[in-house]
Amino acid sequence: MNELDPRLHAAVARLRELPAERDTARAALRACIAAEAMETGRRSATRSRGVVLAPARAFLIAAALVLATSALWLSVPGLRGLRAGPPGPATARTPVQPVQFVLVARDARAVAVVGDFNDWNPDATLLAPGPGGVWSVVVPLAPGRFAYSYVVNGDEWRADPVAPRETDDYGRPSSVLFVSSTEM
Amino acid sequence: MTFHLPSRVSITVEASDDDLVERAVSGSVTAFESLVDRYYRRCLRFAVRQLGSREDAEEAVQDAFVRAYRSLGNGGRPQRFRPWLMAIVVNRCRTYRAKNRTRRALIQRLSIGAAVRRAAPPERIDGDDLSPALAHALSRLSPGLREAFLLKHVEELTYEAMANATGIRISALKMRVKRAGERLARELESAE
Repeated sequence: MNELDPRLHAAVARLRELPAERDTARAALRACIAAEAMETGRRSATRSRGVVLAPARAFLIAAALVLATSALWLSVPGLRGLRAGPPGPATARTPVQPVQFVLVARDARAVAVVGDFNDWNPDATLLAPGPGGVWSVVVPLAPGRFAYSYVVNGDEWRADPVAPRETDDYGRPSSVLFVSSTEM
Repeated sequence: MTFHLPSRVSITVEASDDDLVERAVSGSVTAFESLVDRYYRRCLRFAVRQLGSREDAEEAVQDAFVRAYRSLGNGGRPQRFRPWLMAIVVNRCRTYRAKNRTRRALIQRLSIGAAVRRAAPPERIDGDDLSPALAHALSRLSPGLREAFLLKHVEELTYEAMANATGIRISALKMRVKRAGERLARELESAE
């Protein structure tokens, strides 16, 4: 099916040629794999040292931690930006973490967050308005590093004022988020 | 009857993908690096042709391998490694392209100055290892057509594997491959 047009044989042969690899790129990849392997080893070691709790007791401790964490967020009105949200349902095979994006923007009519996790699509993840111009949304994210930014009123790009920044490809500042694989 | 055996016998048996995957799942970094050695340039080939930028392609491929390693570390066992890896690469390329496109659009809307606009060039296909005519013809395809054509005729995936990688129905993929071929042939003929 879809036999190749004979006029394209030469072009496809050229396209099939493998590009040369650059030492710097392979070295960077090796370093990333090594770092990931170390992180995986640390996670395994942490798990192996974990304390075994009876399910009922584990539930009580988890519930207490959720309440304490939520209370902390609510009691610190100056906190803005990104914080890890309360733990979601235990899903060992999909270790996503709920991450809360918060921006105080009293002048905003609409706020979206764009980043590596949603293909930088300003229509994908809208923040909900709250009292005092506090906009927020919770996004489940897998562990890793993400670059992101806020888009206010559809066209104003704002870096998160309380997160580490990086300069993007086109000279605009965006923010960096690290989602850990912390398990409760 | 006497057999004279050579003093040294060297037999090299290349490990299968399945063997390497199994060892990688068990935590062998060396096994995973063997998979990287085996498939890095093929993944790079697709990414460079699809994204049109060597730097973006290297970043997308690196990201894809790290995600693959992480997934194997979490116990994921793909039925067949190469199509599974290509699916990750395809999706990372889509993400990188979308990221760049959205950033370009935002910057244009923001009108933030000529210097920055100069730093955000329009999409083009890197012609480092292609003739200018072929690079140009490839750049004239829409990303969807280009993706389908490359997966079929350059990466030589089956339509089933392509459907798994792209999330697009086989019938639609066949149509895209056909249209991409026609368009590419026209572009190349007009360039002659």
